Amino acid sequence: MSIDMSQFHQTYLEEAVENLAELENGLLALERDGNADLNAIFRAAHSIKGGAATFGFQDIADFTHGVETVLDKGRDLTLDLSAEVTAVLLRAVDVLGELITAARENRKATANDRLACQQALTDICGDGTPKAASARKEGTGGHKMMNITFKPHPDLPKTGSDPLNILRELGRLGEMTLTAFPESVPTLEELEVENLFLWWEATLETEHTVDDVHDVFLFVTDEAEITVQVVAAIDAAPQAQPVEQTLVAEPMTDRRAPENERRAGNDRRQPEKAPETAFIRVATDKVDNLINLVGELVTTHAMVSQHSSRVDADGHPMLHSSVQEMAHHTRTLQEAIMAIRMMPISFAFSRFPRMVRDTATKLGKQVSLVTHGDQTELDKTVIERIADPLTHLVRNAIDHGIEIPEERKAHGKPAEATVELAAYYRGGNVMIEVRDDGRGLDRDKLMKKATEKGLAQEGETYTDEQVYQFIFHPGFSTAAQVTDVSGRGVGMDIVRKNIQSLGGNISIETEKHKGTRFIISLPLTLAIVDGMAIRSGDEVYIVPILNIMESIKPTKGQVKTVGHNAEVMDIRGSYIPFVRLSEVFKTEMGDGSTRPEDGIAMIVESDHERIALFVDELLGERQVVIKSIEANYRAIEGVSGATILGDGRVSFIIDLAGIIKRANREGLHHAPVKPNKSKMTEEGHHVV
Amino acid sequence: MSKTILTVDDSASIRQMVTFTLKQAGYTVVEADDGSKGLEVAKSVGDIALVLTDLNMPNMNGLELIRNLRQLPAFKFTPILMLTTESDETKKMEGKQAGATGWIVKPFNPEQLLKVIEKVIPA
Amino acid sequence: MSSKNAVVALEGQKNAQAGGHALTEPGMDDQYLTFTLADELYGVDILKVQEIRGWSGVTQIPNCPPYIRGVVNLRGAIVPILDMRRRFAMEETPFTPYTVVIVVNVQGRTVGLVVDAVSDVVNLKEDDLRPPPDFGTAIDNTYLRALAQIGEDMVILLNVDDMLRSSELLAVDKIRQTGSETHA
Repeated sequence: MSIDMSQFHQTYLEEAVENLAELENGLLALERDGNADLNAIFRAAHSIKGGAATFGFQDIADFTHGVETVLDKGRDLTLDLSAEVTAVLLRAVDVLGELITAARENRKATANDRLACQQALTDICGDGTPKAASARKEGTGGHKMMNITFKPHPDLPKTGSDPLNILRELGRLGEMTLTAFPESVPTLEELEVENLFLWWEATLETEHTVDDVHDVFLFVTDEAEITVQVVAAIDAAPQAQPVEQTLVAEPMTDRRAPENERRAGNDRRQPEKAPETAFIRVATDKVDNLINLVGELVTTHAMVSQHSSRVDADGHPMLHSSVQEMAHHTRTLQEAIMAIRMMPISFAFSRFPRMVRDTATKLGKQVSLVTHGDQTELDKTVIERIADPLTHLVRNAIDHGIEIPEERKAHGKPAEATVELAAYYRGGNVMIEVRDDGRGLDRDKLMKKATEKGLAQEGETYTDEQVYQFIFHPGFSTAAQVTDVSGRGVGMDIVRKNIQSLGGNISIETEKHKGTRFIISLPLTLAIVDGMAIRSGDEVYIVPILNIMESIKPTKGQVKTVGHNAEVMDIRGSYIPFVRLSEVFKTEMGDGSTRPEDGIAMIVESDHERIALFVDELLGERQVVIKSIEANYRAIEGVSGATILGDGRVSFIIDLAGIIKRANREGLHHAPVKPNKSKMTEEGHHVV
Repeated sequence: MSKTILTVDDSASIRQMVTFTLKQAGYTVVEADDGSKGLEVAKSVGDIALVLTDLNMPNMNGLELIRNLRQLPAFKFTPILMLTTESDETKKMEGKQAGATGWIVKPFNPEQLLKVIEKVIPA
Repeated sequence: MSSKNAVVALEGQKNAQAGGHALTEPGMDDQYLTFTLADELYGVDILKVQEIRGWSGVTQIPNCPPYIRGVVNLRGAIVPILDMRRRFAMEETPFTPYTVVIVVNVQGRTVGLVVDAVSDVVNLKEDDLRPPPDFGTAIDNTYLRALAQIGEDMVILLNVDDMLRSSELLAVDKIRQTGSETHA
């Protein structure tokens, strides 16, 4: 049978990445607390190696062998897993990471440290890494006659071996004559039916080697006395000497074992560890397909519900209750399916212990990392895409936020700083906080810089929040020295952009000498958006709730023309651009309103720009399933996706950043948007 | 009726390969990803011709699983093969002590796997 | 055949091949779905046709050329709809009960084409096809694959791939990769 092993490669490599993370975190725990679940660490390495060898990743298997050997010795207490040893193991983790990544990307690995690291591992083991003893003894060839005795111990059946099976297998090696010796069978009273009292003698005419014969008894060498003797070479094959081997079972004396077991048992009961869950691996496109289908089901159900509401309720009482019940099941099904895509945020957090350690060491700072809410679940895609922004924030916190130990002591703080990562739910959102107990943001310094860069006007007053938001502007960096850890202030703007592209936002709280807290708010999933359905002309659009500050019915004269075709709206004394959605989108107007007082102005904000978006009507909030328009069309400016409404029609989901960009470009309003922010802020942060 | 084999391994990729290979060879396969689940499956399925188990697993390791299985009347004489690595000589002995029938040395390929299985449960 | 026609014929072949349709096996029957636009008869390779639907309203796409009518929900997929009369700058007429949308599948994308009415499915041999002459009309020559005579009528075979490629439908950099995804 020929089986293509490559079909298992992807599963193996994904698994290897997970095992590697476990290995790494275990080593970090070991380094930090001097205590860790060594069995789990060993198991992770062991799994990587076992799979690698099986699936043909020889370089990974060979390299992991060294790691495993060191860990095995550590586990057996024959080697002290000191800080130096752990450091080498962590280096090895990096090498392995590159080997695995290279295999995933189907390229050649570029791990420069590989050979040096391998040598270091070998050195740790002293006498060199035990190599796999795979040298196969070459037995004698040629046609020959053997005498074989097979005296099983009485309890041989208790290991699941069937002596008759073994004898049949032996018979298949050649021509066999078999004699059974029943003399040791006890009397009927003494006979234990589960035991075996027979023994056998066989003469075998075979071309196989003595080793091949021993292989037949491979599993019972400890439970039987076996002799194999070549008595005659039948053909002309040179026969050096008769070979005789006697194998007798030895008593098992591995006294270390029970202790190991006990220790393993204790280590495993780590209270903070989440209970193990059984997993199956499913291709993401299968899950996405499910999500699509259930979206269809929700839509179809809405149609059924709509139609059935027109049917006389008295005549069909069952119809209405069934439709309602179906609504319940459909919703439950949708929630259950969405939950498939959810993963605990620990998948994103797990990279940080190592990163914090390395970064802190590099900068000569002492930092401990604490995580909260590791099991908070959110959409897999969100987790994948939030990892980089989080990394940047944590790195920044250590680089800029946290002081060197001396400075901390001078301020009466412990030398060791704490960086916290916390995840929790709030409403329909997931909140992720990155906190440090460092020096905090320096408001005056930020203001000075913002004024220099033309972001802030002198003489104006700014709220704290506004000042802190300056750090998200491209090219804004207050670090006195550019370090190779955080770079030159590129990043914070990217951080914010990435978070916004996930439909989230980021805010800052900070206190001098107390620390800084970055608070990220993210939607639970990317597949669903909370939106306000609005009508503009003949079309219905969805505006993400996240962007809506408030909705106002304009009064006569509240909207003023500026210049040729720009309009502004007076909102409690401050003017903001008034943008008509139908004009930005250039769609047919239908019976859409042209007079501001006939429609609704939604005050919306994106990227700290605020506009009044003029639409005809608000139709109500709803959760919509996001569908791609790029599958069959192309990206549309001002539109982030589409959804299907209850009546089966397509509705576009509005991307406000795109709308504002387009409105600015086309000069649909000329009102100042950026510099004159001070007036707007008198409004504070009123949110619908 | 094809013979049922229980495969217990915490590595999904190994389990996948083992299951695929065995199914191709006409066996029925039941899976578990650690020892305690393996024991549960063994109890609930009952008619199992062979158990294939890894040794290093969370929750209940392979040795414990073998010992527990041997306590069950239905598994008293059932062949149990353990997956082990070449360096695990002592593990092999421990395994035999616990009641394992034999072992399969990792790494192994599908052909080797089937060969060993046919050794303990001839077709 | 004039020398100019010969050049056109060569181009026709090139276009057809670019569209993934080999013109190499003469004598083989190919099937075409024919439809009417104004008073003309057009045809598309039936292998590209996914289904035929009635016209049922669209959602307008913001800021798009007028010949893209909008998008519809086709069993959960968002599918753009092209108005072929507008595309070929023909006179517009109100939609009738015969107005249909031919849903075609091109390069992994699904697109609907609004036409006056579906006419027939015809078998054409490679020998029946004539290179399209240089029309000098509204219809860009590059979308024409060939002409063929069916009884009294002349059918204009369209090269759907090329037509969609130049229809702003697909941003150039967004052409989807057709590499198959595998998962063990």
